[in-house]
Amino acid sequence: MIIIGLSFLTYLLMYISPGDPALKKLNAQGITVSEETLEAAREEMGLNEPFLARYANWLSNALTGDLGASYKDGLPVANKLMHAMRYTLILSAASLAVSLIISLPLAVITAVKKDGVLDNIVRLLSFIGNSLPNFLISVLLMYFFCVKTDLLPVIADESVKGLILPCLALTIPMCARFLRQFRAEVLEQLGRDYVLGARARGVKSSVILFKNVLHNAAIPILTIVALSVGTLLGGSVVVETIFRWPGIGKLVMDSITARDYPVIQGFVIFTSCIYVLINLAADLCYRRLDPRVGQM
Amino acid sequence: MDLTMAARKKQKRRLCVFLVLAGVLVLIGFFAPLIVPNDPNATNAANMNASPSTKYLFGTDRYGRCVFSRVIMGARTSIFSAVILVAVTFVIGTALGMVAGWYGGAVDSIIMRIVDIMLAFPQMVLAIAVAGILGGGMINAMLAMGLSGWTLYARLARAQVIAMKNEPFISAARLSGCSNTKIMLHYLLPCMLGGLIVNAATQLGVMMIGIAGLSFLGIGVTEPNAEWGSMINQSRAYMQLAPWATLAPAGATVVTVMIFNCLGDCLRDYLDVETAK
Amino acid sequence: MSDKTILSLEGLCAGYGRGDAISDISLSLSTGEALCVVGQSGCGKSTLLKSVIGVFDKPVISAGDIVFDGCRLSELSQKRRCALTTSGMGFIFQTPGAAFNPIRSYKKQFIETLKSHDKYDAKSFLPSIKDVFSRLGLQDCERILASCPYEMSGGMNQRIALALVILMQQKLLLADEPTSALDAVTRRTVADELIAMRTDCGIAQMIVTHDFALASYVADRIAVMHCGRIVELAPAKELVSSPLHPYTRMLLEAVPALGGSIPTFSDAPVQSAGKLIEACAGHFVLSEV
Repeated sequence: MIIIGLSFLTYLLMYISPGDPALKKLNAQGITVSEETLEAAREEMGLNEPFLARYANWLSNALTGDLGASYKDGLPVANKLMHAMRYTLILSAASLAVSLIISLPLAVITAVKKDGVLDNIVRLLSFIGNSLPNFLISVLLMYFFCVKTDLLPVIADESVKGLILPCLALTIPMCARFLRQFRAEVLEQLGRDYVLGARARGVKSSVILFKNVLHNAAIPILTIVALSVGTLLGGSVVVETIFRWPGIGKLVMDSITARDYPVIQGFVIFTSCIYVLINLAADLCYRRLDPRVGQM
Repeated sequence: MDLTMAARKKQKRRLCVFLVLAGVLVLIGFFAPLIVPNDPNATNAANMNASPSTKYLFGTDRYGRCVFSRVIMGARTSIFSAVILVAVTFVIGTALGMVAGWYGGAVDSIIMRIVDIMLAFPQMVLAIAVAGILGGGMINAMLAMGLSGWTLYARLARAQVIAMKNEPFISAARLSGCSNTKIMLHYLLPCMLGGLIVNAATQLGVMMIGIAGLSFLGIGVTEPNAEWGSMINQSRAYMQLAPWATLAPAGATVVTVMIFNCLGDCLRDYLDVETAK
Repeated sequence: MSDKTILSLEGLCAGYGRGDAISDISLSLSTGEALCVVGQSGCGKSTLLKSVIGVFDKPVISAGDIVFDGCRLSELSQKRRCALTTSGMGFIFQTPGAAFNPIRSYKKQFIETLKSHDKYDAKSFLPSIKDVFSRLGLQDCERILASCPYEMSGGMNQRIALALVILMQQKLLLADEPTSALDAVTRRTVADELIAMRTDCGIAQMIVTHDFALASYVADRIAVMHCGRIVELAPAKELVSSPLHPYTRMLLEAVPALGGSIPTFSDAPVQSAGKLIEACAGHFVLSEV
């Protein structure tokens, strides 16, 4: 249901785009436009059929994995996206992993030692990080590491060294958000009665923390992480464009410049499906963690 | 009891400080054309990439335009677009959410299905695609951000209305013959306004970052209009020559977003205590 | 019933930072004895329990001392003190089941509690639990252990909590309003189990409640608290039949009877200063010196 609505909306997106698709396609290919070529292109693209018929056609193709062909070079959109996806996946997975490695332990420590020195420092840093847009971080990182000190390459090649800056640019704001939200979740769990009860029973604090508090906090934390994938995908467009990382983000920006609409459309449907699937997977995980979820 | 009173007083003071700061920002935005020392769009080939001086506080950019004036003018664009965007999405989202929650049934399922669909898109991904397809311009950028922005308020308002629907005071209003509209506006809305406003306040920073991000990508506010995101994008190519042209709008963005984020946090803390008491 | 003193409080004062919530509490409890502490909400009953167990950040004991099982608690390090009290005292909350993590099985939580006190033995775990459960009349031992607290009714949760106290072979049970969240039938079951714990296992009990009916049913002795002080302490029957302190009389008059009207409670100030003086054998009253 959601997927159909999603696809319809994406299709609508293309429909409302200004101008004649056939004209745009020809322009994108750099063909001189005449009345005949235009009419031929319209016929070929099925533009003379009614809107809904075209949508049904497009949808049935999309369901079989055919997202149409790029206006620019005629390559199938799905192939282009899949190719670029590899890079985005590396970048996103790396940033997500780094963010979790940094923010999870820190969030637990700061929640347990609330109002301590570390807690205050981390809170300040995460507040600053929350107010920094990722494009700004990218530019600043570039300024300090490339322009000022020449430590790292400006344009990200595919080596690990090239991955560092774009990964950092995505990690910093995400860490800031995670820290803040994780800490709040752990704090909330720490204030629950069962923690008092376990302490009154003399259960070791390590057992209380790792087996009980973290177990219960894992459910909201999982939600936060799954939702952050959306931010990550959006953020990767900016970061990939700045560092010229050949992922889907850069692909879509190039396509926007070239007015290559099928690619943009494919990008939206592709990322949204990933996002929905990840959140679905998170839902399935809840059932394992919280027996109450399955019964509701 | 003294302790909570003191804490509350402190919260109130913090809230006031940030309200004043945010007010100053809005005023700067409002009176921007009167404040700017130089014409923000006047190019000057003789004075390109000049370092900061008394005439040009933040130096000049590649075209010799006064960076300080452009930052001030950018405040107008950034702050007003965010405020208007939040206001519009707030009103639309709240109205739809209330209608969905109050009437239930088919209206509810239609509205909530739309919300579900919008939520399936990552917000920035949808915004980038919409802005990219519609082409640049501030209105298009706002439209792109607002497309999914309203769902937050719709969900909140609906949940609140459903929770309050069967409260005795609502039944009483209904029995005494109040119309649906009157119940919604006079009874339901005031009860949930606090929570919604807190959310709207925290959204200000998010929207500001979003619009700046779109402009940075070149699909939001475009040249020659001054906007911080696009200024950063334009100037980053010659950052080595004129770092001030990048750092000034960057600083402005960070400070503004921080102030609005703080305001949202303070408001939340303040109102939370209010409801808890 | 032996006369061995398990717990004695010596002029205990404790509070939450600003002034004492309880002051000058002195009483003692022998093995197998049940003491009910009765009073209005806010009189310091729960504070008393929490300062005895002493694992929470608050309240802080400001004066006086606690002797538990022959150990003077103030002489121990915080860590030793916690180990001693948590292994020797059981704590039952007002909300049944709230003391357990709602989404983890009882089995896991029982095992981790026992392990923390080095009392876990894989072989004897199940048989001994079965034994305890059957003593409390709980059927279906395995099913209960595999369930999570959120799946259980309030009464069940409370009884399972009692079972753990027996299983841990604790010497003292501290119960904070153990029956106030239960319905009348379950309340009776839990009350009977409290009595069984005392007579069968010799577990001393300090039960905090505002419910005079429960107190006179379960307790050997009753202490009445007001404004953070004990105003009267006497054997249960004697206190109910011939209360000496005016506040006790007021409380007793306020107990609602079935078929009667709900009595009002006069808010007249009662004297709550002075010293606890033995009026007759075993019957102490707070009186001005």
